[in-house]
Amino acid sequence: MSPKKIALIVLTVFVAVSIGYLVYSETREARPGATEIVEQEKQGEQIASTTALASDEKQAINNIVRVYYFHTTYRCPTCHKIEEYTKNAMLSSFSPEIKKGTIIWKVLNVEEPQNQHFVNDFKLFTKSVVVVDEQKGKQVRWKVLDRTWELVHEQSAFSDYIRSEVKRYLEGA
Amino acid sequence: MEGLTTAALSAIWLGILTSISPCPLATNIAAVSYLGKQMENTRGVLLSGLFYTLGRMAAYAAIAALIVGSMLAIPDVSNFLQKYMNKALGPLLIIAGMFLLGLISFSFGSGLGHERVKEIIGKNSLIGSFLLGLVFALSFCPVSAALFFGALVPLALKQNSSVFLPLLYGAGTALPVIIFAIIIGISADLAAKAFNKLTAVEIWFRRVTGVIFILVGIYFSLTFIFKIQII
Repeated sequence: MSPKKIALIVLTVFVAVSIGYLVYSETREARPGATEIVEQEKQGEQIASTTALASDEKQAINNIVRVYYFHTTYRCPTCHKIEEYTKNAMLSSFSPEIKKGTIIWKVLNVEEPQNQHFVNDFKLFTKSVVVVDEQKGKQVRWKVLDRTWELVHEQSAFSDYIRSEVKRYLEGA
Repeated sequence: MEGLTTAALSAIWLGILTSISPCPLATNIAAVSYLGKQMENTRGVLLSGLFYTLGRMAAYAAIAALIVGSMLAIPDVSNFLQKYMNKALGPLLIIAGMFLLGLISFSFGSGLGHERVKEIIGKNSLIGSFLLGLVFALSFCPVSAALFFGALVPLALKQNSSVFLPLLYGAGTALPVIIFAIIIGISADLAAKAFNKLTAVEIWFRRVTGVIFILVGIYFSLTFIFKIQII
């Protein structure tokens, strides 16, 4: 068999398998409940337990600021950078509030079934950092921090931006 | 007027920013090699580059017009294109690469129709360049989605310019690709002429382009269909 023929067969098989897998995964995704619902908590057990503690103390905490980083299954280099810079800014500036439960910082994949509603809730069109003001369990206002893509090349400006926006929400301004 | 000039420059700059960010790198490499291979003369590269640019401009202007006309909502169109275009692009590029390598050929019967199809897709491939621009523009990655939907569309809405600014943005996204294609096309042409081996270099350029298309196609399939993170 000539190398040309081998290449033709290998590539044709690859294309066929790709298309087959694409159709399979799309139909599986369309079926509700087919995949197990597991919430992805990227910040590990510590924050998860803090969140649990926060819900126990719900009565004491009326005002919560939620800071989300929403991504999809496909992660690009810049997306990783935005997540890392936001996480650093959050943990370096708001650790006491995160421990207290007045700020909740989460990284979520919007392609997971239980998170898909966030796309409509916040009108998301790309990977985004969103800050939400929650009072007595109700979302009273939210903001997509869309300058993150513009500032991602200067970490200090990026961190200042995250800090000032979160602070503004924390102070109820 | 001054506002519109600033907006126009911003639109071009946003386009260039989109093009030089890392996420469209794979498709840009494929486009550079495809446009550069029209190396029989500089006019060929320029003409292909022009059609590639027109393809990109048409894609962005059409999306912006649909959004401004309130026929489409930004999150819907952005998420749909990011999800499905990148998935479709893998197999599509592999098939295009196989065609460039001569592993497959289009044969819609024989006679005039067959020759016409070959003529359109094969030699000068201006329509090919246009389609490449169109398809690559529609394959939004996170950075291009952020800059187009988050910065360009609001700017177009503010300036009440749903077609003109997206057209400039499209031209901006094509600019770095065309510059590289011209440099590569001319260098290859000069080298080929110096060694008097134009035909051989052309054949190899076409093969390299085919291989690049296949590699980029495999990368897209693995990343977006099989969800295997390579980089």
